[in-house]
Amino acid sequence: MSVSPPRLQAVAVTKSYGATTALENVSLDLAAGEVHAVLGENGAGKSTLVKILSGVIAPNSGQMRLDGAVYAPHSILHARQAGVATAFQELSLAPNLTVAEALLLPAMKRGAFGLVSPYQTARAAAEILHRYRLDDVSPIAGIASLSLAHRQRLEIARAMHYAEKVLILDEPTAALTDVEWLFDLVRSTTAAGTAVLYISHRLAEVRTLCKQATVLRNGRSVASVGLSDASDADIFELMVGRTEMAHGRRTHSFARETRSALELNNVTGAKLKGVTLDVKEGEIVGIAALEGQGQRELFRTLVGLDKATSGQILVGGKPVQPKSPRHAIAAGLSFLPEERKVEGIFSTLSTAANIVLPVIQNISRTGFVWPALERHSAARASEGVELNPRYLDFRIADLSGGNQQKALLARAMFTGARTLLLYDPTRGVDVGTKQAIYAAIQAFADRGGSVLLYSSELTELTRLADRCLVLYGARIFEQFTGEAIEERALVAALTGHSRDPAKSKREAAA
Amino acid sequence: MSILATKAAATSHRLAPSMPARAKALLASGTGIIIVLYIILYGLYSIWDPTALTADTVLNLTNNAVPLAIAAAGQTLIVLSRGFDLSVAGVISLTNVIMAAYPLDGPLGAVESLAICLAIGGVVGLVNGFLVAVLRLQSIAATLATMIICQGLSLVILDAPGGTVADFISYDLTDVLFGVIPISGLFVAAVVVLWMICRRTAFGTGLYVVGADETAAHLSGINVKRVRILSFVIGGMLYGLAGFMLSAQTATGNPNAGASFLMLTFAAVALGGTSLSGGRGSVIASIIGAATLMLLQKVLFAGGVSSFYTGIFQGVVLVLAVVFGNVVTHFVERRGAT
Amino acid sequence: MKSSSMPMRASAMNFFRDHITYVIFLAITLYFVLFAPHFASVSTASAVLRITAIVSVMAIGMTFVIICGEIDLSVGSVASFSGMIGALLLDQSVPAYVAALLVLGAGASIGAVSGVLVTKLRIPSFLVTLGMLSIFSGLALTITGTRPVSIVDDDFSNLFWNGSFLGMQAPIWWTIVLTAVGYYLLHQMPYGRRVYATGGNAVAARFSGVRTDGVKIFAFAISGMTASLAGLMLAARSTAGNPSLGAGLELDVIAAVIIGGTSLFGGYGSIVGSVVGAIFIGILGFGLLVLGLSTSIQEVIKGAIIIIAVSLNRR
Repeated sequence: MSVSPPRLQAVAVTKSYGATTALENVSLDLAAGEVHAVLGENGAGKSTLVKILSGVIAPNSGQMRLDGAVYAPHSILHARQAGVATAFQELSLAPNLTVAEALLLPAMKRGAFGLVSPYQTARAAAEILHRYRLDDVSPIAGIASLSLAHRQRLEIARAMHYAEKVLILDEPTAALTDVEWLFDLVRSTTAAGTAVLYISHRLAEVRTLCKQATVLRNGRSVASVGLSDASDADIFELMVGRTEMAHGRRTHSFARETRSALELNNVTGAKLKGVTLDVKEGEIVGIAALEGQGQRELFRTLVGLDKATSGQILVGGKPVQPKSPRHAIAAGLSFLPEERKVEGIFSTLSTAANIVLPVIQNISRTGFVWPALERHSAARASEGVELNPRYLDFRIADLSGGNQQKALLARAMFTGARTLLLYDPTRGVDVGTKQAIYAAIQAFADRGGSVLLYSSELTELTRLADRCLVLYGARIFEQFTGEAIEERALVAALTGHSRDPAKSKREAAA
Repeated sequence: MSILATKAAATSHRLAPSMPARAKALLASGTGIIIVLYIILYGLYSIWDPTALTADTVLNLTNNAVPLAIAAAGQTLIVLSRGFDLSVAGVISLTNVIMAAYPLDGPLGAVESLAICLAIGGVVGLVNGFLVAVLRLQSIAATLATMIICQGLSLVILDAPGGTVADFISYDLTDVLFGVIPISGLFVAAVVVLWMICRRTAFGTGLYVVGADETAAHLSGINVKRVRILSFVIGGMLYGLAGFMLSAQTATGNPNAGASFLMLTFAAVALGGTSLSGGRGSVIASIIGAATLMLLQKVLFAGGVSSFYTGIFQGVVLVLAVVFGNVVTHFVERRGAT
Repeated sequence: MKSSSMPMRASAMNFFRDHITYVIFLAITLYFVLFAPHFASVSTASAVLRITAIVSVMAIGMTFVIICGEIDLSVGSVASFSGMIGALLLDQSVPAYVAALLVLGAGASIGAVSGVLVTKLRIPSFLVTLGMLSIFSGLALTITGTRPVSIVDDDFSNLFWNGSFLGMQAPIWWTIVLTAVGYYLLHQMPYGRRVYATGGNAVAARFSGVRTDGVKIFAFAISGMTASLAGLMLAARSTAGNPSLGAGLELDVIAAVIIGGTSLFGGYGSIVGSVVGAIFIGILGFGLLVLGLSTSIQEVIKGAIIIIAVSLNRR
């Protein structure tokens, strides 16, 4: 006989939402007992793939097979019954449940008269908790009372409990402190024959656990690589497609003698532990950090959403205590938020109206918003980001994600603020849009504007930043300047390794 | 893996909250607070009015509070799943005029009337559930429409107050059993028992999860649509029961009988500490909230306050109850965090 | 190009989706014109417009609140209360114009109070304004102990109901003026943009420098003011302040706004749509009456139309 079919097989799976294609012709083979990695940048289609495999959404086309039989889950529960379970990145534990309920939902243990028995449920949960070495968690504790790390462990334990054939782990270590716990469990799971799909952007972890990886880029599967044969650089290249990004770093030589546009002196509070930095006029300062190192709080503090308890913020030399985003804009700080859909766009308004909203007062004459003037202003703003003016009259919801992002960048730049605060500005956009956004940021700096840029992609920082600061443990941990901004050095600093060659470079630079 | 070890470890944890923990949780929840509030209020009432503790007063208070208590119980189900149900007013009016326009006498007639009321509420709830869960309309818009339709139908059946409810229903169901137990109270008791059973079913748990976090519910394998539809259907049936009990009490029909229930059910739910953004609260607390509301009203208006003030009073209580509920939530959450 | 035709087609579809309810209104109106006796006449048209003026005026204010993603159930009782206050002021021989301004100011303040409770205490507007409904209908009753207050001031009656100018009656003028003012405020002024932004995405609005709380409070104030204007019109119509004049109007007003295509989820809607919605409810009532159907059946049909309109306007 020939070899048995793969445990899980996906063939040419495609999923699109309206005009945007999230996943295109992705195929995947997963053998029993294998840990298979899925790598890719934000927006590469990883979470769409997870959702399809776990039954949350159905693909537009393509086929999936489980042990050779057709697998087309129509719900999470259906997938679970087939033996496929998922630990989601966004953690699917409702805060008002107990640990036991969360673990066993929706089928809880029943006692007399077929009614749910809290005692039996807790008992069953205690066994699961023990099996997955979570004895420090009480089955009757409320989810809301648990730390994020514990919630993530529960999410993983629940998925393992139900994953008889395939276990999907979506960024399982985002909030974990003890990764060995996870690795041991993954190993014993695969020893029992379960296949594991491991989605992560942390290459080191992936190398420890997996032999084979599928790399996704812009919704397509670009390669299936044996991890032992590929260097980190090779894999990064596959993920970001360096050939397309080879235009090199920022060429503009920036004069360090200019005035400071934004200065932070020992800013503490909202998790920040004394952040000191400055951004000169015409300078792009990059912030590199792993998840949860205080970058979110840093930006939130600058726009007044979090309060600093001590320290000083100076904008253009004048002390400012931002009270609200409105106040920050007035002081000259314009913010491009992280979540385009949730924090950025007004889906019911036109693209033009979206762009000019913060300055609507200034472009109105005698109290009226003149459509011609509005469109003219929006067109002027969108020139800088290479947004096709014909989109201005469309509802922004009908635009692709990339064009929406361009419009939001145009909005941030059009407030007239001299300092841009950009939080992951190319999240989930295609390569062409990235180029346009990079060009717009550089042009802004060349005109004398200053930029504080956080990015989850190191290539973006090496390419754009005049100076790059590494946040680690909610304080500035390392600083790299000019040529010293280089991926390998950044990667080391990100994980808190200060005694390596980067250190000397930093000192030379400082 | 040894089974013995598993068992031993499994029992090393408490599998049920300890009695002190339970008591503390009850006090911190809306239920505990509203019970204490009710007892204090009743205590004050009995000091001020010596007849407060007679069987007659208790019967009166119970009969007064029962329709609202049952309707509030129904509203709670929808609020728990993060929605508002305006159709409560329509269903109560509709069932009330039907009982007055087509009285069915005798015990068998009462059973038939009850079945009709429950069926009407159930059908209205099914429509609401379909509109909200399947067509994904906002609950306020959908239930506003069904409320208007039910009010219109009530006017078609009875265009002015009038008609007579069957004698058996209006006399026997408002009486006492064994000289002390108000029969109407037994209906509420039945609702409470049903709720306690419901709480222990997949639907009961689903209700809380859907209200707190719809995405998490979906990802945990809960059938969100089913839970929503069921909450509207059961809620509707409870409004039907409330209309039945109201008819027993008023003995006559009024096409606008349900109008005042719209605000009062929300006031009762809010007083009971159920979170108006879903996921937290209790049907029992709402029932006691309804009783508190009626008691408060009685205490005030027995004291000679003009009945014109009823509206002002109820409005103020509604706003204060919501503010009070928010404060309690804030307090409980803050304590939970430390 | 495939990709370029995509948004084009999407916006064409949006246009159809947005206007399908108008097509239905037109068809139903046409039905009445053809089959209801004497329906197609100037007197019918002006009667319908007069009848619907009150709901139209209130719907214009309500539109601001609903686009903000909130709701105002108190408008009916604020109208009753305003009518009473207006009548009492006139009774104290306060000049008509002064009395009117005072009442409008009171209405705006009541709305602002609701707005403050909603935004600062974070109570759902549905409940705040339900409470306000009860409070102000109670107050309207208690001021005079349910006794109506008759109005003898002709200036007042002419200004708000009985007068006519250039051949059109006062209530129709009020509808036109309010529609124009509302239209400019919502569709042409910076404030209107902030209303859409607040209702469409409150977080993004805050990030864009919009004071969302202030925008909402102002919207409630507008709604309170239009409600008290409607109260004055009601009082002028019946030449008396009567505590139950506005009872139940809030349902008609909300129905008009919803039927007019404004989304209860916020962020989408228009003034003209709300006025069309109000007029359509009037046409429907009048037409069904002419065809001999009872008002009770009209209610049932109104409810069904709300469901159909909301389902069609779903997005």
